[in-house]
Amino acid sequence: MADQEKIKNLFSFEKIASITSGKPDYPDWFDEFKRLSTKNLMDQNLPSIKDSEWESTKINSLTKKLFNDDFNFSHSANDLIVEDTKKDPNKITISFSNGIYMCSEELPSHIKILSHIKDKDKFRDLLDIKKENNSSFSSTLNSIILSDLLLIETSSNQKVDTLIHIINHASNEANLAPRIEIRAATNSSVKILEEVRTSNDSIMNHVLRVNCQKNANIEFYKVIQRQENSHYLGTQDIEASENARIKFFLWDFGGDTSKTVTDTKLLGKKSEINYSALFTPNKYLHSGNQIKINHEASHTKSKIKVRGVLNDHSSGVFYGKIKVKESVTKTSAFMENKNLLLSDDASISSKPILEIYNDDTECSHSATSGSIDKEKLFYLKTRGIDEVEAKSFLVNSFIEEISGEITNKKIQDIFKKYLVQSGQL
Amino acid sequence: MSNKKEYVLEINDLSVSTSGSKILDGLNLSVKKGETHAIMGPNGSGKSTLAKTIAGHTDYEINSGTIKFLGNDLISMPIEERSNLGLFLGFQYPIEIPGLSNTAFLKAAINAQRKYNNLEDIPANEFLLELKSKADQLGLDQSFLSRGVNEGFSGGEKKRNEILQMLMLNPKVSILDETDSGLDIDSMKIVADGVNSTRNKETSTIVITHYERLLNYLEPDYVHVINDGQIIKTGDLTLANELEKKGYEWLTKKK
Repeated sequence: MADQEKIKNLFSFEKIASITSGKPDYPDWFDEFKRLSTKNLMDQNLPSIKDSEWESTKINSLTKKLFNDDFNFSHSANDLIVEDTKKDPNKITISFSNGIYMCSEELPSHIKILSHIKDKDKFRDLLDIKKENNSSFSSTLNSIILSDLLLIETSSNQKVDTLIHIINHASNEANLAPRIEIRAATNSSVKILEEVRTSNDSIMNHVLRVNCQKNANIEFYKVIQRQENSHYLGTQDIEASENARIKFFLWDFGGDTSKTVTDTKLLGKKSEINYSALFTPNKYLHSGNQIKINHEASHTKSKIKVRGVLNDHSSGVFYGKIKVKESVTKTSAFMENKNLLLSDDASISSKPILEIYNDDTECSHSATSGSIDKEKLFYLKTRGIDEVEAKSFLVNSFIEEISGEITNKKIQDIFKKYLVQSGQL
Repeated sequence: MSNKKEYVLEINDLSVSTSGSKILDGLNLSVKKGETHAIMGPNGSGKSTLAKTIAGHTDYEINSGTIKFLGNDLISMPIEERSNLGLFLGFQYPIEIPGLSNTAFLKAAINAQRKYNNLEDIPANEFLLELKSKADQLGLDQSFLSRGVNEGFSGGEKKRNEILQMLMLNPKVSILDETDSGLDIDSMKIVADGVNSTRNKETSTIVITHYERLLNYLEPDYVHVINDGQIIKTGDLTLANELEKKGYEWLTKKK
């Protein structure tokens, strides 16, 4: 039986359709939105490892989990330990437990938690049914399950110095669909850090939409914590207007399935994105990282730097694609993927792709995979450093090449904490 | 007072091969405490193989022979233990490790040695003061200490960084593999002064070189010529001067 057929057999669309009916608090438009999303999902091809975008992705256990289990969305936040959110004048923490906002402090005007019931007009503006038609499988699934939404929206010329720290926590067996919308108005700036904490048998199907207007500046840092029996799907759509600058940093520790798809459109001239990602799965975990950048305006710049460190029987995927349109000139694009395999049983699939339709561009792409350099190991050992410490130095130095991209001191400290916690990768 | 000096390194009948080719073929060399030995020889004669074999590089397979270091069997000893016991190899081509600062690296090396000798970690202040003072001695700018190990260093800077490590680790036996190659005249003087500053009755040095200039600074006790994996002649500094004039052919030509 073809893989596609096998996966199809796992589906029970009645289960999905049942979500959209019998919910008394759903406004009609929301019900309609979910029904349309469900129809979109049914019209779509199901994820298959035969698709280049799902190639090498560990998908079977995810689809089994998604379509064999009963959907239960009535999670409570009671069983979760909520982070001690100490008052820090330079940081605001927004903590979600199973999609429920956990903090009592008043939020500044640029941060809103939108409920489909209380804020239905705003909510409706943000959910563009037409856009849903072209959405990916994960994103459409998010629309079906979606409940509330986090909106971070700056006003023109607003420089937000306070770090916005989002914590998204899923408890055991939770099936969540968080959605974050970031809208940076003209000439504004904002820095955001998101931590994703999944639990045993949880599924998080996360959608992030970023819109960076003229001269605006967004820094987004994200950590997906390691959880052996969890599934994470991330869909990230980024749009940059003229002279907008976006810095994106992702660290994924891997899950039973963990896959992040980032689609960036550089729509305005002189817009820039600097995308860095690090994935460090171990045991039997998986991490998939897909980044697409479309240069749709002249004088745009993109930089993709992705590092994988894979231990034990873990597997990873890097799929990077930079596209420069025919009508677009004076662009610059750089894509680099380096992978360090710490075990003979770890595996990596790396595909850096350039699709260039205008020669007036500076582009480069590279991908390397290998184990720890034995000459470096020998050098450290000849200075008395034992094998374990020497390897740890070499892994950390490999990671440092990319964590050096974090220039914000506060975020550096938080990432250092993760580095220590991760121990021997 | 006894004149009898201890052997710190004793190599007997050492044969080594790599990738199926025999490089060292029954080599013998004995070094006593406080001595400086120079090893010269044509390219491919086995000089670097000897250095790497002593340090424990796994590319080199020991087919026969013994190496004793301070009376211990060196061949069965892990690489890091050789260093912790007091062996130092100055690399011909020092390795770059971006992302690991020179300071963190040296501190880890010193603390590994101290741990081996059941000592507490070196206090941070003491370490930094010593490091700065030794870097000054070698004309290395302080900025080198926070940079990645050898990252973006010039050839000469890398070699001076090797000597910095040697000065910090205070080894009992140092093997310097072509530390003078790629050095300008001034840098060579600085490096030679650095090496000379570590020389005393307790330390021994083996210098692998192609040039007599470094040896004129170091004034070795013995000069050995290695060819086809064996030491074929041993003399003093005058042998190095003779080699500079005549080359190796008069020694290596098969009769």
